[in-house]
Amino acid sequence: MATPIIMPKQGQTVESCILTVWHKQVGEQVFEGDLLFSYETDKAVFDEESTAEGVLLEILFEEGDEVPVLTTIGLIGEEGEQPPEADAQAFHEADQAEDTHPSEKDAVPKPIADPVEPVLRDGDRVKASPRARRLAAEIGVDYRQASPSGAEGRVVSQDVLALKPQVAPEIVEEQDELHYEEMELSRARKLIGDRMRASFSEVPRVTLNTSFDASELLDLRKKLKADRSEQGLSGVTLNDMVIYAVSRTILNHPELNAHLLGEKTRLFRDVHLGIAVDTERGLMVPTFFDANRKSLRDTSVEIKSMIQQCHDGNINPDYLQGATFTVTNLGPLGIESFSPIINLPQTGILGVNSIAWKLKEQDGEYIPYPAMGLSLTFDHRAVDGAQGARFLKELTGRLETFSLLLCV
Amino acid sequence: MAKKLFIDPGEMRKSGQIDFSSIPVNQYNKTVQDELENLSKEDLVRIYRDMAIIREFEEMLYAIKTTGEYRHTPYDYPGPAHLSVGQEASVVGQAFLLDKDDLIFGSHRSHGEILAKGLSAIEKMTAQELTQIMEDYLDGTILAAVRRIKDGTTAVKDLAITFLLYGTLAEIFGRQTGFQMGLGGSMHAFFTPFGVYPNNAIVGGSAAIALGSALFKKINQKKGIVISNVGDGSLGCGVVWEALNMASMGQFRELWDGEYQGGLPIIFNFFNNQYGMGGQTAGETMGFDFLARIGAGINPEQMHAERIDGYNPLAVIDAMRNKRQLLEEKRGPVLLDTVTYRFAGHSPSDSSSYRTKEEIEAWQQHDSLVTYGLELVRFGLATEEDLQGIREAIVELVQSVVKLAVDEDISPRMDLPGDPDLIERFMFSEQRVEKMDDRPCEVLISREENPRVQQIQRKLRTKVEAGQSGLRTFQLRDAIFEAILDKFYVDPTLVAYGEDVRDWGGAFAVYRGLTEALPYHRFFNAPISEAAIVSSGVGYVLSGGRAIIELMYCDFLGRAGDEVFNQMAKWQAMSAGELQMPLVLRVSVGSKYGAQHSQDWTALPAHIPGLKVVFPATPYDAKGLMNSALMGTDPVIFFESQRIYDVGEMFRPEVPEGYYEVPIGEPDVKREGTDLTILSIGATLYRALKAADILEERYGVSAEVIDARSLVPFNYEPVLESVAKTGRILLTSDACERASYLKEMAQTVSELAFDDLDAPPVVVGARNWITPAHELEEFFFPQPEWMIDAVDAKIMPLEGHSPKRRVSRNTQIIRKKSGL
Repeated sequence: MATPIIMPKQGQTVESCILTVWHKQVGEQVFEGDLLFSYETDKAVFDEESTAEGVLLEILFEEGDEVPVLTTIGLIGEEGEQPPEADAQAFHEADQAEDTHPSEKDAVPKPIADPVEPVLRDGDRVKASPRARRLAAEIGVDYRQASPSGAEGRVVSQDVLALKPQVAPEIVEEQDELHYEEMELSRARKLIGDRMRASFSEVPRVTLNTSFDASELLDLRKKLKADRSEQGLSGVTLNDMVIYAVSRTILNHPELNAHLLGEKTRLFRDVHLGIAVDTERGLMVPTFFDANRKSLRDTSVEIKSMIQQCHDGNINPDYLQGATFTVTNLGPLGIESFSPIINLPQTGILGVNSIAWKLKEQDGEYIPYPAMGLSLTFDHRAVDGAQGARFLKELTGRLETFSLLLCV
Repeated sequence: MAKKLFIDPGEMRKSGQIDFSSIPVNQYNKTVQDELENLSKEDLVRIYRDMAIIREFEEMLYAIKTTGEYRHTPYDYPGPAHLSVGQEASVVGQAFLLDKDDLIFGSHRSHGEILAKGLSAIEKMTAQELTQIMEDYLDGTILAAVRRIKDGTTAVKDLAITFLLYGTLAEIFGRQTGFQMGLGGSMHAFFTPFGVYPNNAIVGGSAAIALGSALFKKINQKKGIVISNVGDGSLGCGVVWEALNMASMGQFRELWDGEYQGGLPIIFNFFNNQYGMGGQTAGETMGFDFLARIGAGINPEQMHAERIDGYNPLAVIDAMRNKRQLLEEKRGPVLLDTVTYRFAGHSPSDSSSYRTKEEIEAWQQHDSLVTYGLELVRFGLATEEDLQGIREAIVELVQSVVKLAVDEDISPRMDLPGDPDLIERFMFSEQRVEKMDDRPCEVLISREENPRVQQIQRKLRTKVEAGQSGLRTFQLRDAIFEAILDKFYVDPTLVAYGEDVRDWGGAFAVYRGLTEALPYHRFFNAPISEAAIVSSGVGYVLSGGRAIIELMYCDFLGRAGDEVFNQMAKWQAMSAGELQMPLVLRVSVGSKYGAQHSQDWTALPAHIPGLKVVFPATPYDAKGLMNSALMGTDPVIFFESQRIYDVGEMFRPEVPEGYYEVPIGEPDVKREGTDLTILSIGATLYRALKAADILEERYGVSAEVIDARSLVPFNYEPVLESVAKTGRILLTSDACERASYLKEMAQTVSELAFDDLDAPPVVVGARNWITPAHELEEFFFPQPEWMIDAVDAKIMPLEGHSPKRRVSRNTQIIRKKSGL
């Protein structure tokens, strides 16, 4: 009979713990006293040693799972022993507990573990209640952006309401004569407004500004522009190059290529970049999926096509969601630095600024160089300041040696 | 249970023997000539005519079923045709002396009974009466169709005969101009103005219904007798035996008073055609050998049982004359074994593989139509030409009736294409009738003199706090009693009966005080015969009375399955609204007594169209709903719970002493809240309220608790309104969770409030187990903690809550997979 591995109870008030690390793999030999797993409460981190000897037959919770205390999280048994059926497991477990600890019968009933449920994974659709969906449509917010608080990870109405900006009381003015013109806000405008407001009011955000020597980018741009081949290289812009560099850098900083969802962060394996586009209908942010897998030329061609579709208003709505990080470019409009607003539940956004000439000191001389500005805004709940700075540092380094990046 | 009857151990233990008297077998031996003393020549010829009409009618149906036409009128009739070709003498003989006040209840093979009884009634009625009936019935719809072939010069009796044949055939063919507008069909056709009461497609179904009708006649001192016409095969059915026994209860003679003393005016007639479908009753499927023998086992009078020759109409008439005399002398009930034989199969699809050709041919040699005709000729009462003339006229009549009945314009079907919901209006009668008769109510004492009433007067009728119930409080059982007692002083036809109701006061003391108030004939103990109790209730009320019957435990409902599901539920609609069913069936959901005494079976009657179902949980609601049930004309299954008979009123300021109603179908908000709706059925209300307290105190969740009070009908609006507010709903009752009525409610809420829901509606019922011992019931019936766990896991995570039960999806899937 296998021995259950129990999540210990640390103190009277603790009801659940986060299982942080399994130190043994399923199938691995375990001896008494071996470090078996680590877990944490909101106060401290603990290591748990094995009290049994055998083979780790099965683990019932994954690293990162929140587990009620005194719940069976795995099984140790003899080599070759089949773990009981997962479903039968919990039932057998209860029987066994009674058999071996008759004295516990009168104790407070133990919380009972349900069979393990699959955790939400990347790509799983967002679960939202019908009421939440209806409410989101009514107030014009995207329920997918909400942090789920309902049962079974469901977005419920209160989560949607949390996205909704507080509406100021309506002020009725007496109008003698019209000195102004009123226009109903477009749906898109309202949506942008709501999202921006939610992001602005909810997110503790930090913006870091930096710049880099864009000489190499400009040189390359010149050469590409002159290209007359049919490869479509002449259309590659500075912005495309920045996007390309971001896509090659950000996976080293996974907390920025992520969604913050209530109690968990969803870290993405690929880079889907939101590209902010200024259109007559207002701001649109199409998604450039799998940016990290695309060549510079493909990056340029695809983004150009998406921008055009945004202007034409015929972009597939599927392309207006799913981004993991956003790049917005105000450089052509001469902006030197700004503080862009994060598209929730993303954790960061990169603003690309104009190029200004700066001087740098080299061998005692001041040499002018074209400096391109970057502004990184991030959600401090998910990303620390130094993490953001490290991302910017790696990014600017790559941009300054862009031709090397292309060789990778 | 009757203290009047002393059970003497000396008598009980005394040695002796039981003596039976002889049971007559086919002892009639008169000729047509002899009968001229009793019957006129015209009567004797009319017997032939009536038999010939039935023969032609059934032959016509046989032709249509087997050849698709009758005398060149093609017609495709896919429905049932259980024909009685060969049995004509038995039905004509039975009906011959009966009139419209004598009621017959038949079987699936009753076309002949309808026609025979109708023809007999027509013969005895005046032209004016007949005209009135034909003009009134279904607002003259049937008469209008008949007028197409019978103009104003037709004699009223002839018109009525055409009316009878046409109304029956149109009903068989499912036409709107049929007696039941096509909602009954072949096996359920009837015509009450001629004393033909519902025929029943359930074998033996009529026996206890007829018993109830006889009770109605006796208790309300109505003219006429009642006949249960079922087949020999029905003696395999429990309800038939229950009916024989209950109709023979000793109390009719020993305990009922005055003019009510004496036997029931009922004949249990068995048309003994030797077969129950294909099973041969004597010799194969039964042990009685002679069916009449069983009368000897039922009561000391042996039910005056007799075998009579159903192939001789005169023998049957003679027997009916004698037996009717017995019934009028209050010496009923009577049992008749009427020997007969059908030439056709059980139905036209039957190849008679269970009997030989020789046997059929031998009986055809005895064909009553032929032999009786020969008798008439032999004694010079008719010539062969006369008889031929009669037969030809009948063929012509049946031919014209068939043409009329298959004419889509004259005999249309119910207009469901034009109004697909038409049948809805027949499911309930929805009348408010305070009393079914105007005569004074027979009671023994005034209401004020009643000891229970006096006791109740000392009780607090005002609102009590939880847990404060006690002997000084007006309890739920008092509330039900009060509504019923009051009605006994209003409706003279009201009767209440069931198991251990008189003297004992019912197993749960609801009826304590009724014994003092009511004479036996209004309030009596029934045998432990759930099927007969319910079916006799059905017969009692469809004959014109109002009744409350009682089954003690809900778990005994299964014993009355057919009677509740097929009889009580169906007759209003199957009669196209002609019959009403003001019948209240009390069932009590138990606890403490284990698996066969603790079940909430509300889902069963609620599933069956045609029944109203209520389950009050407070004294105020119990009295108000009982008043509504006793004011209406629809069948109501009135659920009670033994857990809460002693609760006091906790929600209303007081329970009024006077009359008031709680409308059937209206749920009631028992506690207001904003975050979660809890809808409960029955006694679970109090645990739902406890859960609401915990949610409030421990988790800051404000729960609204709605008491369903009724299941069918049910107004969802207050629930939807609540869900629009809260976005969440949990449903709970003591019924086993699987397929409980809560599931129906949850599905309806999902559908109607889909866009309001923040979580799926979640049902918390009892486990899908047997009920364990009382000490372990908390592991079986829903508890407040279960509700909290379900809220946390499926509706809204409750901060700091850790469930004590397995409630996840996977658990649910695994349990369902295992049938648990």
